[in-house]
Amino acid sequence: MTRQQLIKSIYDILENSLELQTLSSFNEDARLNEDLYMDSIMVLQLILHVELDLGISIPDEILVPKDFKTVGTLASFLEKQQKVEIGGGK
Amino acid sequence: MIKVHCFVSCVCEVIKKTKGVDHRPYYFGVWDADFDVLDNGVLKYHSDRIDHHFFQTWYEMLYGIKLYKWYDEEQSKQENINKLQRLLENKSPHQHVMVMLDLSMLPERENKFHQRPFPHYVMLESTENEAEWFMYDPDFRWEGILPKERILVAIQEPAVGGGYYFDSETIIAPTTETVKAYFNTCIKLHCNPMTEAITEIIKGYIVGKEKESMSKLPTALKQLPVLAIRKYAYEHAFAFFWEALGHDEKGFETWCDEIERLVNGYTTIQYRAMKLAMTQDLLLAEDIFVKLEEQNLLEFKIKQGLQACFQAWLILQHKKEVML
Repeated sequence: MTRQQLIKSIYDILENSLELQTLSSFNEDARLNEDLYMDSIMVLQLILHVELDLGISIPDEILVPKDFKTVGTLASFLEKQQKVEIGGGK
Repeated sequence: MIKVHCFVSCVCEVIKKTKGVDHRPYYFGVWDADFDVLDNGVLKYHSDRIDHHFFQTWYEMLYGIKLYKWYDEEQSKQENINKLQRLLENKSPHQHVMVMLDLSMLPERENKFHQRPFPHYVMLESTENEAEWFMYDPDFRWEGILPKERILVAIQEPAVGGGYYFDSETIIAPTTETVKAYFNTCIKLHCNPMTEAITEIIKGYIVGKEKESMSKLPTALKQLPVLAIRKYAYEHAFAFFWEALGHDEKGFETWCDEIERLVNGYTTIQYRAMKLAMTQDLLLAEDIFVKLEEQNLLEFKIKQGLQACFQAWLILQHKKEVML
């Protein structure tokens, strides 16, 4: 998935699965905690949906808060994970 | 310094502002501080069965400051609020008034856990404006003026109740003997109560009496992040001993990394538990128990490391006493 597709997917999960009420503040620089009012559990729910719905495998031993600071850092993390997966499949 | 426990943070604030008195030993009581597991296997950082008697007693023993409980559960909320108002009106500059309120009722505050209700201790002071109070929240490093009515609404919430006051004029530095006694009381070298409790909760939802409600496991562990950060208290203890022993910074950083790994490990457990609940794939349960065992071993290692620091510190203190 491209970065833009990943961001769109994050938006869709937040809207449909988490039913987040603060999506009017959604943009690439939006901070998950301070701007979208997501707590750490909601962030984990989001990651879990990314893993199960989009099929991007997430190594749960390295769920580091800094990767989930903003929508953009989360997208970067997922881009990296996709590359790891492709690399691993070669 | 990292804040890990609202009650402890409130009473520590005055110690931190007093030169020559170290607040870090007080955190010994935090890493395995009380929590509760309800009958339906729900982990709670606060409940009716938890009081702060332990911290109250040791605050006085370590620092010579008596904590008075002004909140009386036998009395009505309004009577308690009247008492709070009287305390604030007659407060001397050395007096500090703590109250428990529901932080989720003050949404302009950054509430990173988004708990609702969110029982939380803060300190209050009156201002020149009768309609406003100064609220002081050392745990989240926040202070500011808020409308008195709004604070009262947060105190009035039925889920919360509690309050203390204390006078900091009599503050003393803790003696070696008290620090020793407190450390020995707090260090549980052969059990990690929180990891044990989480293990039992998860077993309960997989094979025990809650197994029909496995999808509710994430709710049962919802407050885990609030409890996990208590493990940062180990950092305060390592820092206290490390500094006294004159050890190098690098060794301290290594312990901080281990503590960080311990705190993050609970996130992994939480994530796996959520995944188990969503997929109902029992194979995931194995991974959770493996991680729990890792957490157990890691925390024992941290405790052993701290115990070794404590022993070295004791020897140093005795040497100092002999030299005097």
